[in-house]
Amino acid sequence: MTLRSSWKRYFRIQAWRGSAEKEVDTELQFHIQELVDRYVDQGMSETEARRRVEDRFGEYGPMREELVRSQERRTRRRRHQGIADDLRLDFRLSLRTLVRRPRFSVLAILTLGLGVGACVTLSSVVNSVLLKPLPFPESNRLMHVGTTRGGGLPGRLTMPEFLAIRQQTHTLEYVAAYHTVSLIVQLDQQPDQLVAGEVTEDFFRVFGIPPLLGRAFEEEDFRQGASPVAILSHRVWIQQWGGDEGALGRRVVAHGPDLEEVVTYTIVGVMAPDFDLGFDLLVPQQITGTIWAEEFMFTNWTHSVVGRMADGRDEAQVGAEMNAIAGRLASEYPQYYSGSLHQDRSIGAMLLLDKTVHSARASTWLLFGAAALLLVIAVVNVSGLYLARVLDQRHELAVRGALGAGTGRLARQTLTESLVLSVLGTSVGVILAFAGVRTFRVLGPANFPRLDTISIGLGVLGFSAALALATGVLAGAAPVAILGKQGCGGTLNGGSRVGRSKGTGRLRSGLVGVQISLAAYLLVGSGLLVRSFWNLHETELGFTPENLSVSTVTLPGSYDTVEEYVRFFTNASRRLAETQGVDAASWVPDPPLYGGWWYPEIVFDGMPPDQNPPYMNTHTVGPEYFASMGIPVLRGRGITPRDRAGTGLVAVVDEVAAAWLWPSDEAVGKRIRVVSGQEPSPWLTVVGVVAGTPGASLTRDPAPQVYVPAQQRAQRYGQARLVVRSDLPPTALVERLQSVIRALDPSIPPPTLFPYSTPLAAHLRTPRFYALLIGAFSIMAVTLAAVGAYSQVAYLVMGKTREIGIRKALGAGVWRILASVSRDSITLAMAGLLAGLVLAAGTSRVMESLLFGIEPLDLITFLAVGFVILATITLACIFPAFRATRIPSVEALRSD
Amino acid sequence: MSSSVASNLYGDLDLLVLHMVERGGPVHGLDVMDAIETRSGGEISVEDGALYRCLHRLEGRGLLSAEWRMSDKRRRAKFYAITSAGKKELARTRRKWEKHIKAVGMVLAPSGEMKK
Repeated sequence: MTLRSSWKRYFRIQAWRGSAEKEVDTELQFHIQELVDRYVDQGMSETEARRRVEDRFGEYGPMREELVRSQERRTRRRRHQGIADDLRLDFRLSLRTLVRRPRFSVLAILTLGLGVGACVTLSSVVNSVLLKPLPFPESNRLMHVGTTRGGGLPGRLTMPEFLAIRQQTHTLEYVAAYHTVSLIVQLDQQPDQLVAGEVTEDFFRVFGIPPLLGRAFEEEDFRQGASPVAILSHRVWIQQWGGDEGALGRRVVAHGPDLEEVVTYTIVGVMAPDFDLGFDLLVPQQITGTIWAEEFMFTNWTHSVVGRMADGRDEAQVGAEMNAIAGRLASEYPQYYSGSLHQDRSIGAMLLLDKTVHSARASTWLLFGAAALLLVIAVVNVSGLYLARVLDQRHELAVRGALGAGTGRLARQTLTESLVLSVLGTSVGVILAFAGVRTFRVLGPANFPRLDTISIGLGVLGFSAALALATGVLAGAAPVAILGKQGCGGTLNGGSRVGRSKGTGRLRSGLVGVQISLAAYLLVGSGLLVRSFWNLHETELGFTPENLSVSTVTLPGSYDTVEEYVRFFTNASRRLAETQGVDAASWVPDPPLYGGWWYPEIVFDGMPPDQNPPYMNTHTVGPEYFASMGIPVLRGRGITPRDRAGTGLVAVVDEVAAAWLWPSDEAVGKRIRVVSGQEPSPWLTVVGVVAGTPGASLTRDPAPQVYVPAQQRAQRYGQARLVVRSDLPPTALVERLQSVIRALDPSIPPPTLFPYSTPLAAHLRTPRFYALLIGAFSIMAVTLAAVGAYSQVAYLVMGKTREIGIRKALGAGVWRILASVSRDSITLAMAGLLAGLVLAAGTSRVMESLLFGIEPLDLITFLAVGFVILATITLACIFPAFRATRIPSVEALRSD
Repeated sequence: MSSSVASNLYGDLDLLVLHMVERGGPVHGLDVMDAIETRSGGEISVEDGALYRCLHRLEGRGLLSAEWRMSDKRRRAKFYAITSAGKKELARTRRKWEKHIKAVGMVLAPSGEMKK
């Protein structure tokens, strides 16, 4: 028969798809059967015909296998193609839908963007600050070794301790010490002050980063009498020498308080750019022949020590060895290791990374937690929005269902849409995060570790992609679940009552409730931080910072006796005080907030003989110190110019010290002895009691302070601070100050002057920063929760419009209507609020280290938060209900 | 573009099958086999297994599409038709084949000197 007509005898089968095997078999069987029929028609018997056909086919089995396999491959490919096509279609459909409802889309995208932005910003901080290793090779072997008190954070070590460690250690491959030295160098016309790091021999070996140019220090550089060399930091090399390679070999003439005489350093190297410990340059520490007396070395914790762990050792082993070395040292030199000061002290070791980021660890994770919470609220919010939209579309979805789209297909479509939403939202969030990271770096407190390394890395971007996926799935989960549970059939005949079943309403309300409780939780946290910050701000300072300025003056090494030191500063402050426009001026090495430097033992009248004398922060001050600082003299008198060498030996104590030393007696008239090492400690008469002041920081409890006239008893440091009370504008005051200093000694670098508000602000900067951030998060959270509540109530109210109309028609008062309509919503809000507060109460202990002057379970804060949330949510609920009551009854009755 | 001397048996069959399906489509495998045998005057007979491998291969490449039909004798059969991609491929292969034929002819022709 002709080719053309044969197929007309066959009827098309609608979409018959058997398994691959069945298809192949059917096709081949047809072929075989037709052939058999032909042979039979030609006259053969059935059996013969069959045999003939079998012969023709030859290797039937393997051929069939091959066909089946290729058929299966094809079926699979077709199916994948089908899914890919579906997804493409879904994607296009989603975009179209989102564009058609701009208000919903924009709201959802912005909400997600906010949450994701906060999260990505904080992830970058966590990653860059806490997780990223230090920029040194094998930095996980770098250990910080220092004095520990009761097993706490290691601090600094004394020189003999470092030497003992270097000599005895087996767990550290290399160990080096460094400490800060001030150098005054002559650059251009003016003397300039540089911060140098005096380092020991293995410094570069410990850190593992060789100098960029030139060489590292070698053994000869550390020998007594070696020609002095220096290595520039990269920063200073660029700034002062313009990055010129010819800087090598140049000379730097320096003098300074820690140098006995003028020293000429030859530059032999430049450090790599990443290697910045805050020093302008490095010089070798000459250990032998140091200018310090043994006693000074043993009682001053001056050196920071770092070591590189040897292969095969771990943190615990290093710590144990350090402990043992400390013990040996204590037994060898008992005279330096006894007394209450040394009670819990030992030597410990900590990973350098941990030590560097320690101060910020708790607060950073806290901030991250807050950001994560904000994201959760955002997702829940969007989920609620989305659910509402899907429910409104029930009718449309039902139609689609009737036309053949299965529930699975619709669910997939819904999910695709929410994924598209969340990808867009995440993109917005990542953009926001770039701005967020920049803001963090600018606003962050100066002492925030590794602040300038914070950046959005690839890892964080990958994390954001995962976030996009997760939020998309979560946001779409609720509507998909609803679709699945209730299907789309059977709603074709519903009116607008479609979708307002009790179940979905409860789900939406539940979502709002979750948002409210999380927002309350965040708000409690920020409330505590804000109050803590305020407490700090309002701390009784004990002195008067208005019109008060402070200036640090560093003396060159030519002032190598205590007398010269005291004389210079006494003269300087006297001349300054006599300057026109200055009310009072004085000086002290360590004014409030600049750290306490001297902690001698105080022996006092009436001290029980078997008691160890207490250690108290003692300040050697110039005359008129209290007047200059604005510290009220409570009883007796302050320190005057008449208190000097040769006159009666006096002291002044603050009220905290007075209460401690003589709890039931008047302090004025009593006597104390200030005992420090081998210095003479005659009896001093207490002539006055002044108000207490913060010592090193605002947060610690006020410690007792003792004041003695510098002209009678002083320690020699490289620098001291001049304090000036004046209402001159800062520029004028600086000029006066610099001319006074220049007149006294032109080789001293001109000092700068800061109003006391600057160190104050520096102390407040950190708590303000945290309060601001978490405050911002919680405001966003409350806003989102309020918006969520508002839309939920608006939605509910719409359904009750008829009911409201009826009630109005029957004469019910507006307030009663409002009450009944919003009752459910407000009950829900209260439930959420309660949950949030309980959660906060249970976990607020986590914040304890960040709070000042306030308990984690502060009642006022909790009550205030409760009030704020209740008020906000009530307003959000009442408003739409109120609007509904304004609808004329006739319209309301007609609505449905 | 020169054609290789060793002719590609695969290629030949593809060409023939495509052509026959285009001419008479939709067709089932047996019809194609018969048609090729008839039109070649019995010179070319296609092995049954090879035919079905070819048909499936062409379907896999998207050059043929298939649908199932039911005969009045309640036998299901798979019918193949050519796709637009198949048409393009057919035209391309036919052109190549005709060029090949011409080239061979030119080599074998008695007239025409061999250029030195």
